[in-house]
Amino acid sequence: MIAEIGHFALILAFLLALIQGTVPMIGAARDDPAMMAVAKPAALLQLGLTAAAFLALVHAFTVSDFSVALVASHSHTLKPLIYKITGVWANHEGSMVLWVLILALFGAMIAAFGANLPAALRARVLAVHGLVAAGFFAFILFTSNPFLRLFPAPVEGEGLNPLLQDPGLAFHPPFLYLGYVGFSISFSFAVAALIEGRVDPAWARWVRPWTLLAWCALTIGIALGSWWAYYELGWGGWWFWDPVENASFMPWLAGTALLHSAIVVEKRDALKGWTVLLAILTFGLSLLGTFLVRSGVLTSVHAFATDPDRGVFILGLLILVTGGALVLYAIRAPGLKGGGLFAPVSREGALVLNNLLLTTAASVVLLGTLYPLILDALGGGKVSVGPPFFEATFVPIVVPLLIACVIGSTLAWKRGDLSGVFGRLGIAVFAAAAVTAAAAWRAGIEDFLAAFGLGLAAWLFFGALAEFAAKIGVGRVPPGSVLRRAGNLPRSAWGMTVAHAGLGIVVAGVTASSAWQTERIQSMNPGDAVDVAGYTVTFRGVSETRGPNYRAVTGRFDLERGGRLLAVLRPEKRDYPAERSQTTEAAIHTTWLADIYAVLGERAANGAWAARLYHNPLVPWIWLGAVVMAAGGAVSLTDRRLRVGAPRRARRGRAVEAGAPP
Amino acid sequence: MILFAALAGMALIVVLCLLIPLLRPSAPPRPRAEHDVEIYRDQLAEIERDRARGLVTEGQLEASRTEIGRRLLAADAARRETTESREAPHARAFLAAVLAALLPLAAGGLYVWQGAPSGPEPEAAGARPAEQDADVTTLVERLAERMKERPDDARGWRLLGRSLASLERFSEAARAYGRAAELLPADADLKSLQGEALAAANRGTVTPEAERLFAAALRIDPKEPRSHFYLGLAALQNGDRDGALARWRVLEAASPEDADWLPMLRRRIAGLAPGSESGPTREDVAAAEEMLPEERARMIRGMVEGLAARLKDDPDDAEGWARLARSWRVLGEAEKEREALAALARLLPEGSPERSAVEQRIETLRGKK
Repeated sequence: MIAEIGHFALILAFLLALIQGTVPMIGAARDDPAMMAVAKPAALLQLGLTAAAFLALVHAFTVSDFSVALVASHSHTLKPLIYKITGVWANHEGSMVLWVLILALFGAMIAAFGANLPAALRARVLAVHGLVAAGFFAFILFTSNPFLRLFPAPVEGEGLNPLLQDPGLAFHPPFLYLGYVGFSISFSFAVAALIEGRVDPAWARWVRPWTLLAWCALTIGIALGSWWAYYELGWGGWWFWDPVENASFMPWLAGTALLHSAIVVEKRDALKGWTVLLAILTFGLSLLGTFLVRSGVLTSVHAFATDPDRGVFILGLLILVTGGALVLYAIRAPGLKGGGLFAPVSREGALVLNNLLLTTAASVVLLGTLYPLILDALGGGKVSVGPPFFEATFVPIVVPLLIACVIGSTLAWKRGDLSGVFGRLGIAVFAAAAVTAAAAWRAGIEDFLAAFGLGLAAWLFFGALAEFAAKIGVGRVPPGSVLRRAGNLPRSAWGMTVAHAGLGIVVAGVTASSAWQTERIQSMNPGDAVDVAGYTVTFRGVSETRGPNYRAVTGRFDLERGGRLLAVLRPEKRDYPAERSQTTEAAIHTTWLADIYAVLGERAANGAWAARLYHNPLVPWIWLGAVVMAAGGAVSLTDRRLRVGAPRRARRGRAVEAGAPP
Repeated sequence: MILFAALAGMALIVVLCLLIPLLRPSAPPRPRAEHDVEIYRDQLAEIERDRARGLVTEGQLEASRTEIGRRLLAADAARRETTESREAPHARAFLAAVLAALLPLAAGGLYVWQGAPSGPEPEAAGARPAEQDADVTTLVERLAERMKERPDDARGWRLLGRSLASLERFSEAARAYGRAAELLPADADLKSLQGEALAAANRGTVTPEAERLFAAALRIDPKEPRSHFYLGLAALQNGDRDGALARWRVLEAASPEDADWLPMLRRRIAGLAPGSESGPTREDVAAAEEMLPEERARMIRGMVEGLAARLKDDPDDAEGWARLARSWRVLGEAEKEREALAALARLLPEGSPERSAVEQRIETLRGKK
């Protein structure tokens, strides 16, 4: 009965999304406040109903109700409870329900907290949002219904892909979807603005926090996915330029560009058309990502939840949503009034450069991802575009972006002054040069590119700090007032410093782990020892163990340095009988400066075991840096500027007081 | 019925919430330009704050002030030409009526098309009329239903477990045996049956839980053969070939010469014995596990024949006859099933639903012949 209630709730939510997509839109056109007001209860109810449907599905999974076909094909009574719950979204249908749940959550948040938005804009934003949601509800109900029943119910379920029975992956989709779906808000705002024919600073103030929120979630989501790939797939790598990884990376690049261009719209009333276009493209790329993952056009490690028949529906939705918005853009964009002017060397100019480079990077990734698919579709045969392509094209675009990032953030609005900039950033230039020289001296001159990469990381990190120090007047004013000034600084300034410093940490991790990874693959008998980057790894043999729903062969490796035992590494090869599949569990010992990573391979005919051992320098910094970047975004989200905008007399009075000089 | 009421309630709440804004007189929204004025004022205030923090120079300050001031004036002018919002109560009432009528209709239509409102719910599964075909599944379902009323009947739980196992519904069988074992904690046989069902549910893997059950059974009855066999299998699955061999050798020695598991056990021991090869590889273990269903069938047949022999001496055991009939059915022996059912029908009270179900099954079997 609970499953049936969930099903009905989903149907009601679909109909509500249709109403939300039409009635307020007509109301905004007719200037009818009552019709516009329908949007609010519709959005809130839609959240409640979608949540009810989602909980009904969670219930079916936790009690193992195999009369629900989805549960029967993806769960098992012996599965630990946490993976029963995460199993809800580890399959196609369930993940789409999570998708619309997050979509409904964002819609309800606009409805609930949007009181300070102009009424017509709010109605139109919610209407566009409702139409997007209706498309996805229809997709679920008509092609991927999670509530289809199975009578008679089977006694036991078919289990869940053991690769997905993992904490890293359990929480990867929710964050990724928060990111993807969060960009739907920016999209709804962009389309609403095009319908209204005006983009003003109020619009930018509203778009920016939503974009920031989505961006933070996507950053965490991508980091979690990459972390999972690192320790679960057992190849010692953390990024494979796999089409599905690219699918999440493209909206991230475009979203990062959007984040920066929205600042220009708000502060300077410029770049309006471009920002609207970016908002549309960012969500378009999110939808493209969904299409690539969910349609089954790809064959990759992510090929678990695919169904070719559904691809047509998602592709149609993608074309309708993105194409429709772009047509609207073509009609309306020429009418958008341009705002403030600026010199090429200025904060705006730097942000334009940032946007150009980020969108170029996104297009390169898009090309590398889609080219094999298009070639294959046209009968050109199968080709694979791998890391060499992306390293040759992506890196040259990103290097100038990273160099300019620090300089741009120190430039003044409207008209900047480059010579003053170098005065402020002298310490960062020195740090970058010193790190490059030290790295080149240690690793040898033939590794100069890697040394340069580390120098770039230092430039970003110390550049961000130097810029912040200059802002709060370190060295110019007494220490007491430095602290006061730091406290007074807008949160968005704090956020920028933290995020840019986090980017520096990521760059350091990426560079060092790519350039200086040590790999040892060899067959070992118990007692054999191998030297890996100064550590001694001794194989002590294997034992068989059992978990709740698998059998495993566990290897034992002693990790020593200078004769001292640092850790015992226990990589596993797991065999899941119910799912009839095997997984590899890498054993990782981290010092935060490097990871020692051990994988147990196959047993050879002579009884020796194949072992893969890696030394990955600075690799934890990649995820650490990503978390720092997301934290920077979160700090920026708390900026008071993003909360203002309602015509309320009391607040106006306070604002003037606060503005008066002390 | 409850389902229908719940769905109707949901639809009603949704419609009511949507109608409230349409039917309630609403205040006209604030003019757009008022919002703009607010934002520009805030921007001016922020520039002042930036100046107080020393982030902008006087020149920049003046330039920004002029720019924002210009926009502020424009917005303020726009505020004065406010437009009247259109009030159209009739159109709203019409829209409200359309929504109130169409939404439940559309929701109901979609649900009838896609949902399964009349699907048998788990709690209703046992409530089917007795006139329907009385196959083993139905008998088992009915027994399961009866156990809800008599949860303290250990014999009933054991019977249910055995029936479910014969239908290869091993997880449920393990649960039923578990209930019986709770009621008869000193019964070694129940514990080892539960362990066997658990292992069978895992396609032959002796899980740690099953292993605990076998160990518990042996603490009660150190000779219990099934537990010895499966603990040996667990040792083998853990890579302990010698342990498995030792346990099975002990079992072989302790088994009576006519025990029906002996041929299977001896084959297993022969497969492991030293000298036959250098040692079991993972492939060997996997192959041995694949052999298991066939061997299990042979084991079941031996057990069933033993049961038939025992019932000849004790013909008043209704539970035994029911079990025998089900076992023959699983093994596809219609004639022997009919004989067992006939013996069972004799023992059931005249006119009871159980008896009519059994008789109907006998008729069905006759018809097939």
